[in-house]
Amino acid sequence: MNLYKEQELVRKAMNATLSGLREDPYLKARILADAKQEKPVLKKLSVFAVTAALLVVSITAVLAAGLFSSIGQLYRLNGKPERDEITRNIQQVHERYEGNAACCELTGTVYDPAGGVYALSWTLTPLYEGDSLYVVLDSITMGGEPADTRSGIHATGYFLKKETDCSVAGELPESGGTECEITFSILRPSGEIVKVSAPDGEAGAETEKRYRNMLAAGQLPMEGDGWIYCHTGKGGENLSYSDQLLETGLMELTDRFTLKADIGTAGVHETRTYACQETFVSDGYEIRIRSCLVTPFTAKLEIECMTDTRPEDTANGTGTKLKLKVEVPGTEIWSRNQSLTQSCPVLMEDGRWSTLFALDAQALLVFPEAFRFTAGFHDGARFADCSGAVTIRLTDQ
Amino acid sequence: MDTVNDQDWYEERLERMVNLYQLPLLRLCYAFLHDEEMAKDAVQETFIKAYRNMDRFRETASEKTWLSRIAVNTCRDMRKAGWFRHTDRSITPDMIPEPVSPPEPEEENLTLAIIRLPPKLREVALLCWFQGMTYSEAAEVLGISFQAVGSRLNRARQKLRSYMEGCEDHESV
Repeated sequence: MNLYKEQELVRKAMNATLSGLREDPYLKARILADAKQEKPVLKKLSVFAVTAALLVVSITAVLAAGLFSSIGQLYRLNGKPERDEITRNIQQVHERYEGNAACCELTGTVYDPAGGVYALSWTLTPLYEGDSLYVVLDSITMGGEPADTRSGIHATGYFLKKETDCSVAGELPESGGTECEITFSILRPSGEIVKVSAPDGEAGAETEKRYRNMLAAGQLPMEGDGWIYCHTGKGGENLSYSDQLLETGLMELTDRFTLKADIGTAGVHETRTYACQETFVSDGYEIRIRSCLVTPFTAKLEIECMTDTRPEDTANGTGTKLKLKVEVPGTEIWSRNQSLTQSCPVLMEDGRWSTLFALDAQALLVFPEAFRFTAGFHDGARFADCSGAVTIRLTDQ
Repeated sequence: MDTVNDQDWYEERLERMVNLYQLPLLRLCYAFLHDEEMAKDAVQETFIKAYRNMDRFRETASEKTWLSRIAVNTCRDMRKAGWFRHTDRSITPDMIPEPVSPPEPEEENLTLAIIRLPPKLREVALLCWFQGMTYSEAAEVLGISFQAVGSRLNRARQKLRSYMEGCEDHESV
């Protein structure tokens, strides 16, 4: 059964069962009487209010520009005209921790509940010049629920040499909580750091054995991306990464701290809806964009895919797998899907199969008049080249 | 437009909205609160909040989505009240206001199954199925992600299926 059928069934059932709840003329009268005593928000602003508002906007823009370096860097926006779009969505925070070896200040947050994403920026500074400190971001929670991270710059697993701008972006947990807690461990190695890489042809087990031998010899093997190997054997996988590092006995903890902020106090509530009435064909599949919501940080699309036969079983029995690319014509802005969910294929009355996809493209960062959507499919044997495209246009400002 | 005419315009618009949306909102709020008088209070509160904030409403957005968002938040606030949480809110068929004509048994069962769903699942079920919203609209109203709407709706389907097959009791509301 598809969504429309479900809607029809539920509406009919609920309207029949709840038909005893009827329009109440007294309720209407109460509402209108209450309204007469209320004052709606007036549209007109005085010259003073307009001047004050402009001043606030200007000050906010200047302050936000200081925060822009890290979150803007995360979104690769430096020097691009769309930076204003994102800058005004950064909320300033000034949560600070000063510990034994480092100080940290949370500087900016982005909270986009419609897009289901967040971003955080902070500055980390070593207190003593020449100190060797290894930074581990232990966890980020929102409303007590762990929040997934998608990308970051100097977020975790690196040596802190000087004052560093850091940032991370990720998905908000379903709970919708806005109380953010970010926990760090700052470690100081007592063992020798040795840069390592697996020689060509070396099996994983051999690499692991080599690394273990290094740990036993008092050396900390550090891979090319700055990650230090630390698996301490049975039971070690139940520890956090920072605790595993401590378990090696070759690191000491200088600081462990949690910074807290309510990131929802100035959330992003700017959204646009887009639509495309036409269906298009990609790789033999008929596709229709059912809905499209764009926030400054994401584009979320609901897509219906019609097929003559049940889609190939390539995703645990839930049908075919779709990939997408969205592009803003005339610019270099593009994004691929960051996440995808799909419903089970449903057999329609006309004998065709309908599969619904929910797709999420990260960081579109602009509200263009239109963008280009290109689709391709995994057909079980190969990932087909993107072969069908359509333009999705703004419907609502 | 001067201020007096503005107010007239707002009041006319409010009256039109009450005529159009009172009934669907009343049923929506009842499904959340399981109490006719509380549902009426929630509807009244919804329209007054809408009236206060009418200037913020974007002309091109859906009035129904906007009002539903206010109604859902109003019901959530009412549900948070201490006395609400300490009152038995389980619902049986005889507690539902007497229908104009008797519904089919399966219609009554489906309605009860939906309004007995756990709150988070009930919210998406009511918005997507009863209010006819798209995933995006429901996500906007509830302030959750598009994916969360899809996954909650799937969980709601599973719960309803179990309930209709009589193999599972619903979580208490």
